[in-house]
Amino acid sequence: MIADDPPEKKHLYQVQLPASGAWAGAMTAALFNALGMVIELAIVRRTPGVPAKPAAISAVVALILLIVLVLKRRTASVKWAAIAYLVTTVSVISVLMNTNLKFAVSQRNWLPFQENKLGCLAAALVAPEFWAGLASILAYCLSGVLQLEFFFPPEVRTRVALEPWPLLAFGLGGVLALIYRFHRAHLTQELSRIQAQNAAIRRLAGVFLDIRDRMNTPLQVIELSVDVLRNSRQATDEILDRIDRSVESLNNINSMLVEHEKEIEWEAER
Amino acid sequence: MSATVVFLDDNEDLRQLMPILLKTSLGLDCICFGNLAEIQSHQQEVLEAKLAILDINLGPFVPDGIDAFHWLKAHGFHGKVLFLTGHARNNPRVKSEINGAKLLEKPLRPDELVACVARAIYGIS
Repeated sequence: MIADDPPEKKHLYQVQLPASGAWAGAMTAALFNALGMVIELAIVRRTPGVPAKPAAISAVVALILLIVLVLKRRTASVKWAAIAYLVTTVSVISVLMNTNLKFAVSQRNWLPFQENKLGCLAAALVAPEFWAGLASILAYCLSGVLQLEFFFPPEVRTRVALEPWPLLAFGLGGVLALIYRFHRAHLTQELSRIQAQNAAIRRLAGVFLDIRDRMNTPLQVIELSVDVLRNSRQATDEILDRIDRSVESLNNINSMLVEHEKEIEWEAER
Repeated sequence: MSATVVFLDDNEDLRQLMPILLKTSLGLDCICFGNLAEIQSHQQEVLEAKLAILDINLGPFVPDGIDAFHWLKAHGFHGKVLFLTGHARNNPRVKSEINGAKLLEKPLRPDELVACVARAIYGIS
C-alpha cells in the first residue's frame, strides 16, 4: 500500500539532482570557466613568461560547451551535464598545470593556488553529480599538491611554505559543502515524495468517503423497499424496480472502485 | 393541512419510499424535496412541520443539507431536525454546524429509522 512505503535510504552518490538543475550547474561552470579564462588572458598579457595559449584554448572550450549546453537545454540530462562539467574541470586544470609554476616564478607576490582553491568551492556549489563534484575537488587539490611537491623549485616552495595545507583545507571544505548540498537535495526530494504520497492518500480517502456516501443511499433504498414490500400492498413491480435501480447504483460504484484499485496497484509497484 | 415530516434527499427512490414507511408505521404525513430551492418554494408548509429529516450531500455545486438546516433555523423552524446521511460523520463542517441535531447514518434499518422518528416527534421509542 502507498502508506506503507518506507522512506528511501540513498547514498550521496546515488542522489540525482533534477536534470534542469544539473544542466544549470554545468552551464554555470562553463560560464565561470569562460569568464575566468578571459580574466586570466588579461593577466597573462601583463605577465612575461606565462603562456597565453592554454587559457585561450580553455576559453574556447568553455565557450563551445556553453553554446552546446544552451542549445541542448531542452533535452537536459544529468549524465551529459556531468560529462560537460568534467570537461570544464579538465580544461581548467590543464591551464593551471601549465601556468601555476610560471606565475609562481615570475610574480613574487603570487598567491599560491588561488584558482585551485576557487575550483574546490565552485565544484561543491555547481557539480551536477556527487561523484563528478568529488572527482573535481580531488583533481583541483591533487594537481596543486603534485605541482608543489614535484615541479616547484625549492625557492618557490620556501616562499609558499604553508602550502599544501591551505589548499587541502579548501579541498576538505569543498567536500563538506558538496556533502551538505547533496544531502540537502536528498532531503528535499524525500520531502516532495512524502508530500506526493500524502496527497495521493488524501485523494483516495476523499474517494472512499464519496464511495461510502454513494453506496449507503442505494443500500438504504433496498432496506426500505424490502420493508415496504413486506408490509404494504403497493404494487410489487414498482418496488422491485427501485431495488433494481439501487443494485445498478451499487454496480456503478463497484466499477469506480475497480478504477481506483488500478491506481493503488500502480502506487505499490512504483 | 401541513405535513408532519419534511424529508430532504436527492435520491428519488428514497423520496418515494419514506412517505410510505412513515405512513404505514406511524401514520405520519411526509412531504419530500430534492434540494433547498424546493424547500424554499414551500416555505409555509415546511416551517409548520414537526420534524425535518435532511440528507447532507445533495449533489455537486448545490446547497447541501447543512445549508438547508441553517435556512430552517433562520426562518423560525421550531421542529426537530434529523440528519440522515451516507457519510460525513467525520466531516468537520457537520461536527461544528449541526448544533445538536441528531445525526443518523445510512443505511439504517427501517425499524431503527421509525424509532428515531417516533422519538423525535412523540418523545418515545
